[in-house]
Amino acid sequence: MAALFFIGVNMIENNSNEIQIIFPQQCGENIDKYMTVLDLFNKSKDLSPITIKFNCYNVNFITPFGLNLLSAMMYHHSINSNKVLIILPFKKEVKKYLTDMGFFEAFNLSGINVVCNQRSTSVKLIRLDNINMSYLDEISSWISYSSNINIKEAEHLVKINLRELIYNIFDHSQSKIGGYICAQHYPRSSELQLSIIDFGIGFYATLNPFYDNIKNHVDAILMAVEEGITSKNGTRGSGLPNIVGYLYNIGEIEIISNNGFWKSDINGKVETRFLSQQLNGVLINLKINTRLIPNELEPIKDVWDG
Amino acid sequence: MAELKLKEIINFNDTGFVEGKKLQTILEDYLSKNISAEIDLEGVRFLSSSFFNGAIGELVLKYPIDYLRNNLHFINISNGDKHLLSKSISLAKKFKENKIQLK
Repeated sequence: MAALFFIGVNMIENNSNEIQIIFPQQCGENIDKYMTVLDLFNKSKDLSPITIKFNCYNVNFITPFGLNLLSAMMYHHSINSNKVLIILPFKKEVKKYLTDMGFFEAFNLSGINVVCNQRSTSVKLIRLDNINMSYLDEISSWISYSSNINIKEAEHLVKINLRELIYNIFDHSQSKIGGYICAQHYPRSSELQLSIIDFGIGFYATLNPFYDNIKNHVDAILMAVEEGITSKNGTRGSGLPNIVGYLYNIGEIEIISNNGFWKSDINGKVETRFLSQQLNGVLINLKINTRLIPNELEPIKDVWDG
Repeated sequence: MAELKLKEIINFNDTGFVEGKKLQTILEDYLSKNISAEIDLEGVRFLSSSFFNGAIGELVLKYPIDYLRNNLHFINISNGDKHLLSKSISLAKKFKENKIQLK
């Protein structure tokens, strides 16, 4: 991996081999705010050797979604042997948040003294390059503690949702960066946000060879959330439908795959559209109302009646 | 009846489809000889829907549900895993009844 450095804002220079990606002030979960970021990233992603500068100076708010996007882009360029620079946020609260989320630790940024205080409302950013059971254990315990639900239900939530999404990365995506995961609990609104990203081939390239009716990236997501849709042989294709079913009445799910956007709200109402820029891979965001997570699943008498 | 401990069969660092197929191969062997099997899930966590699809899906296609109900018994199975197993059986039944086409 190439070295990563942080730089002060007064060190910005214009250089023909240098591309600067400016992150928006509000790095929330609205993908439309990142269109310029995606445009510049897409133009730079296959270039090497270059210097790529991620300018976060004006960022005054960042969520797991934004942190995942920034991290995945930085890691992509670092494994492409590019010189990766980051201009740190001016706002000290944002810098502290990045520190506590393990961002600097994850990238081993030179020149920064990292004092990471794990927050009770978040779990550290992590890049997965395989299925990591100890991470699933850790995040289950954190969800149980932060959301005040029993550990069995927290494990079920992780198993249905994160376990499946992680599995998809390694079974289907062919992502060279693996996947980034980030999670945050907002106690005041009782909202749990989970975000997971890969820079793989996306749903369209995975499913299109097998299903003639998939004409674009939105079609591909619409198919991927249907039961029994799979690029592999056998009775498969229940991961995403199970997630959508689980979240019905307790949360929402948003899927971005290339320029396809699909969202199912808490009532199961679906919105689809095309984005003006591509995200080359898959980004999935889950928002769960922790007060609505069932504390006990309904018992099943006979599984064979399924 | 054959008594199987799942934790001795699968690699529980990867509880996905391939690990499910390992269990399916063993179950298939017993069922083809008319031997019932008891599968103990104690000590195995984070089984995925893919695992259950791999373990049970093809058996549902091949054998009548009542035969499987009478000959496969899961013990120490959590309520969450029962839900996933039930969904895998439901999916396989849809394939069997041609409500979904196998690829």
